[in-house]
Amino acid sequence: MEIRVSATRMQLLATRKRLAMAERGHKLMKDKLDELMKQFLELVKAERKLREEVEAALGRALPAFLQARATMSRAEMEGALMVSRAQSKIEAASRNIMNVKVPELSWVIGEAQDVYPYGFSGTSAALDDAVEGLTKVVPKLVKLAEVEKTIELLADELEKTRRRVNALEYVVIPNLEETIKYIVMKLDEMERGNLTRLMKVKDIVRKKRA
Amino acid sequence: MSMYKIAVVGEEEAVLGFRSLGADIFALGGPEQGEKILAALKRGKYGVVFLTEQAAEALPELVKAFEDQPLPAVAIIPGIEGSLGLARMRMKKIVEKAVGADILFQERG
Repeated sequence: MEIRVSATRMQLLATRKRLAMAERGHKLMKDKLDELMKQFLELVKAERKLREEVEAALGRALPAFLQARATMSRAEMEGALMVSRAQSKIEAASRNIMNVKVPELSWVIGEAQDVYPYGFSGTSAALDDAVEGLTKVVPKLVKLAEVEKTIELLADELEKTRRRVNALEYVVIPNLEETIKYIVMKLDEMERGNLTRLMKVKDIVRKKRA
Repeated sequence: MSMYKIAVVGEEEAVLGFRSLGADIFALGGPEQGEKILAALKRGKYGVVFLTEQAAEALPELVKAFEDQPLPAVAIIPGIEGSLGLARMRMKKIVEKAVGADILFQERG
């Protein structure tokens, strides 16, 4: 690595200061990385569990619609489902994990007490069951979406942080150390050169006197 | 605290049910629909977008489009045919990217 600094005592002090700063930054970043990783792994674990639950539940809920479909005509079914009374919304807040803004979502179902959007004539009980089953899954689905989003955002931050830690650890800090070594050696060399010159001068002076 | 809508994208049989819950549904049609769905998702104020696996497979850009934004949260859900493991693959990729190695999923594939 090429070092382009003037070997002066000033430079040496400045570089030492920069090294101290880089080391402090590195330690902080590393702590952040560790904490992020801890949170991240916890979330990933939670996500897996949630995903398993959701997939099992949806695996029951969606075929129920197919069953309902079998008992009703297509037009009837669509007519029943297309008009929705339920005003379900997502309420979103944001949370801060290690300076990463992540969403916090919850499912809010509107004022309609029941979610059955249709009258009971012309629809089958199977459809009721299907809708009910789905209603039960949705909060979990929303939670899953939230957790996955959080994981996604944290993953991004983790990658960035790790890149910074590595840059400091393997590039910036070694470079600064090298620079310090270079300056110290250069200064020592100058010192020695100076010393020999002085000794030589003294010799000459002594010889002239003699 | 603000309110957002729910969107569901997928094959018709799978998404129909969500309609009854007041979600906006986008039934999967031809491939030319993809752009329009994405545009609609971007325009609308959606907090959560559920994609069935079929939709995620047909329109991968929908999964990618919101990756770096806090909202909407995109989640892949199994479609009518049950889980194909697409969502798992996605998580696996994310974890790999973040951790630098496949540390969680190796034993169970």
